[in-house]
Amino acid sequence: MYVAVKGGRKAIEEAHKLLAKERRGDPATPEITVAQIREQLSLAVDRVQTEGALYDPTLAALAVKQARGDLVEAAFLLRASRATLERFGFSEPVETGKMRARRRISGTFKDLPGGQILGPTFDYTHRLLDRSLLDDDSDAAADAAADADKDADKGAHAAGGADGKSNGGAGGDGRARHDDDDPADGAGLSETSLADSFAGPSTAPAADKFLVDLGLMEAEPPELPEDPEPFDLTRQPLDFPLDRPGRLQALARADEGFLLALAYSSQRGYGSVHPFVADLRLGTVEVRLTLPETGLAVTIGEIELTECQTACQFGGGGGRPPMFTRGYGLALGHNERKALSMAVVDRALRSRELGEAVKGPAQDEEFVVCHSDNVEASGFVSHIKLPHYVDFQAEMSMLRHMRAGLEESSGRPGPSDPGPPGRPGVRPPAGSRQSCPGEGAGPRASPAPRPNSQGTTTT
Amino acid sequence: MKKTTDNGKKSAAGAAGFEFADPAARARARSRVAGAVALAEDGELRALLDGLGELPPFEYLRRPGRGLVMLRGRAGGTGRPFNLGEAAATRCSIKILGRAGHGCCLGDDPARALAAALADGLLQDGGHAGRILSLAGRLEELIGRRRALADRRAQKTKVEFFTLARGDNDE
Repeated sequence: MYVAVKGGRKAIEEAHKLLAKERRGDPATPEITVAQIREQLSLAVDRVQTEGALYDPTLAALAVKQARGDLVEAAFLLRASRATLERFGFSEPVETGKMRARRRISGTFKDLPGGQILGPTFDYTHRLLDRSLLDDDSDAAADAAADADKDADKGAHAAGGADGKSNGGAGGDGRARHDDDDPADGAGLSETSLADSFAGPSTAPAADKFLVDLGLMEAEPPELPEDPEPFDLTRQPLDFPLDRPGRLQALARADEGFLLALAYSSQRGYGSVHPFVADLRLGTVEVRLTLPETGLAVTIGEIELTECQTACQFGGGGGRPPMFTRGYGLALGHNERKALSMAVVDRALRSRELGEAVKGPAQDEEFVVCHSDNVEASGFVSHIKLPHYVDFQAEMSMLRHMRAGLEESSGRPGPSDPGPPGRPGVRPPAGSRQSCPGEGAGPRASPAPRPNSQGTTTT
Repeated sequence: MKKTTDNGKKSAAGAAGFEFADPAARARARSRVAGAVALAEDGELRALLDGLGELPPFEYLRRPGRGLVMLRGRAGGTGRPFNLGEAAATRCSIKILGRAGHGCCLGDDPARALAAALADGLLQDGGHAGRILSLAGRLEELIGRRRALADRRAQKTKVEFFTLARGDNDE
């Protein structure tokens, strides 16, 4: 049973003022801007977007600033913000096969078509602190970036226009062509969509495809017309077992640390998954939405994603030869650790489907999905620091009754507050007030109170 | 020969304009223009609007408003769709020269949503369609250039890994 507390307004207002002051830090240092956070702490922003389950780099950066760098709190802020907004619709599934990758590696094939593109990665860095970054105006990195751009520009003419399909693309004659185009014939624009016309080497097919083509890896079951609409945990109650789309949605917003620990546990033996990374890529994809007013599917922007395809040990049986099995990870923004962990846990959660023994926590769907959301988890764990005075008084009272009963039966004098006799060592049935006449309210309701979707409860 | 016809059409566009070959062509054009407006950078978009010059008067059917689009992915990249997470979006609808124009873009970006709606509305007007298409074509060109540059930048980090055992790199 919940009983709200009242009062404390003045103190709470002052606490908020103090919070704002501490957020600002030493006023002698310049205030950090949301744009600076978005551009320079982009991996923090990306984590907040992923776990807040809302793609909006500027809002996520604002959340990081407001939360003073507490990324779980920032994810909470984003979730709260999203709860106030109307949903326009569902995008078409993003085509990660057309991702414009700026990083693309494989742990299984060193010579994969399209090549291995390291991109911006911490891999192969020495993890030595770079003390040059201590200087406020350290422009060494910026200079290096500018050099890289200059070099890239030099290659512009060689690379541009080489793509035969390009329409007004990188080729130098693009502008002239458009000026002379007849707007009436197919609208001055070719049949090829923008996404198709710039398919460069970075959009090479994923490495898992080769294994599938060789028959050495299970093919991904395709979407079927009779498939139901994908499960949406923001609108439907969790009902176990979930199907794979439902699980993937939960994993996509799951806490990175939780997934990382589960993936690690699985690799160490609590479960069965220790996969290879067949294809890991970071890049942008276009988002297409069918506008209800026109019924036309249009590109409404592009987003950055991290995608991970893993090849895991063998499934088969039932007439099928042994073959690699799949795990899949997809995260908003640049979130490699998250995408990898997600792929491992996705595969671990397929254990039942693949007829494997469920031995580790990472294979237990209900355990994983129910405890992976850090907004819910943080809300439920943190709510115990809020006033629980009445609950606590009830438990105090119950404890006294138990003690009194014990002392009575052993013939020793009771405590100062005897109350009615209770059964020694037995917790009264939940919710039965008469068995525990406490000082303010009945015992805590059973089962334990559940937080609402924002993770807030008041007792 | 063809060129003359084109130029003739262009100069006449302000008055009579042109018609799309068929509804499918018109739908394709609307979709492409929407994409170009959605993917252009802020500065490029401003250039587009400046390029349109003085706009005919328009009224809002729906003022720019924020909302969400649920993003979907596919299991394994190609399989069953799943809900990945939402994205902030802005949409807007206007009426211009008797035509309804609808725009939607990612992010909290009322100016872009309005630009998309205006472009969509004007595209359906014979007198403006040609201009809109040519401006959208320029945007696509700029977007393509930017993408090609990003691609080249990434290509500079392309690696060749060698395995050290048994000399399998001799070929």
